Amino acid sequence: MATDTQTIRLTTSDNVEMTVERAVAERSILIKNLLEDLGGEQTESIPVPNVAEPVMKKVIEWCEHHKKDPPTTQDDDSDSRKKSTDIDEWDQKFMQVDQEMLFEIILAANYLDIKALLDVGCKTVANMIKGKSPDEIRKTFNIQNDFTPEEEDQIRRENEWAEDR
Amino acid sequence: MVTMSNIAEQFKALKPGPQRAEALTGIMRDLSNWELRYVKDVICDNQFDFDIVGNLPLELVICIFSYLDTTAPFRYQVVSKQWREVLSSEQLRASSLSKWYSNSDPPLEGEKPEYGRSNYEIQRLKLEHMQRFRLGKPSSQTVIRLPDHLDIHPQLIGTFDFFHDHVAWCLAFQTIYVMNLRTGKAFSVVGAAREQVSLILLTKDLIAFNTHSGYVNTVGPIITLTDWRSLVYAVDLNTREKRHLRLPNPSLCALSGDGRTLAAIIERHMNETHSTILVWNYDTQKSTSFVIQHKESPDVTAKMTEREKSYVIARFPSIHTELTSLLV
Repeated sequence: MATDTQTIRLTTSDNVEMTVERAVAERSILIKNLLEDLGGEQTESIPVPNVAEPVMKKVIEWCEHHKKDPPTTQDDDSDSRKKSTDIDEWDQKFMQVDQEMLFEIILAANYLDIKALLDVGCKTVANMIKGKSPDEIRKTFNIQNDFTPEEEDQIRRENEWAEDR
Repeated sequence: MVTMSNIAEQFKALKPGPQRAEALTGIMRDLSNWELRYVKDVICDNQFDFDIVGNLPLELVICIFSYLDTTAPFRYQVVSKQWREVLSSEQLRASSLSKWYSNSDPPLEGEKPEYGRSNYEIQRLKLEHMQRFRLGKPSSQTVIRLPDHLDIHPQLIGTFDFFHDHVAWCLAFQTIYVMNLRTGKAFSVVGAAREQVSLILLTKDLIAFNTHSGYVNTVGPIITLTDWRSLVYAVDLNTREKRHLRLPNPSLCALSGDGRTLAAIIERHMNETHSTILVWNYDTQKSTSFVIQHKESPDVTAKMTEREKSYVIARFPSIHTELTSLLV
């Protein structure tokens, strides 16, 4: 019985200790492999030096919701032509965070090796870019245009063929 | 004495993380609604805008752009210097290309390295071809002119075919030219005795054509044939090896095929109510034939497709369309 609700402890980069259900934490392949390598009952807290507590909280929230999802297989990625930017409703809501948080979630998902979360994060950013002009992109992400008008004109002409017209 | 600045100083002295969070929670608990509104306004002004693409490692930018169309990395180079640097990466272009090109695809005109182009130029050209394809804007148009001295009969229009990368046409009812539009390479084939060609057909693997030779004698209503030979030639588009099949007399009416198998519809006599269908495989050089009945006049065209061991032959007689499915 104890194994059903077995918990582990994680220590985030800002030194906060979190108690997480083992099955939830194991959505992270990094943690799963680590636990397997250590074997047996894990009593020590596992350090996660690259993820801060507020981000880890979000990641754990996602893992909780997706606890029962089947594990992703290698061939999910085989046909990249079929990639769609559709995101399921819960994930869409989950990703309604500020851009800095979104950035941190993507980095954390990559570090913790949670492929499905990484994909959702990347899709969310792709959807923010999709259909926008370079100028709209600058506004969306608050980017300064650091090209001179001449440089900008040259790059624009160089890549004119890529315009959707 | 507690002053404003020294509360802020003390807060600054706290380590980021739990200590600060605790202090903040303490302060927030004491705030009036008016003060909370002030905090809310300050927070709302800060959009936490962040240049995600400019700050992520390349592999993750590649992941993001894998959900966008193949030209997006070029379109957005103008955003900022940082974006231009990331989006100019060869790895990113290779990943975009892998969606449309496999390594086994023969290169299009100009895509070969021997044209003195850099890898960047070739990748860009491929993506440009892809974009043109997507938008339906051809990048080049080739007009093949037939030599003026050849007597081009209007019937020549019927002796033209194309399939995938290949186009085939017949000149002077004798010589068949096959050209690969991708590579621009062409070759020609003729019948063994340069006999007259009547039908040509391209499949994925073969160029097939029908020839006949001999004499047609017409005495009143009676037609007799002397030394009449009707052949179907098939040439492998890769090896260019020519094989042939002799058809039973008298004449072929329609030729169809799929892959390495051909189907010929043979009419024994005009106005008869049955035709013979002959199915022949290039590799085994074996043929099967059977007779089918029909009510109307002979078929004009037929189309055959190969599915596993079964052939579907659709016939288009003058009035009805019949579908015949055959197991061979």
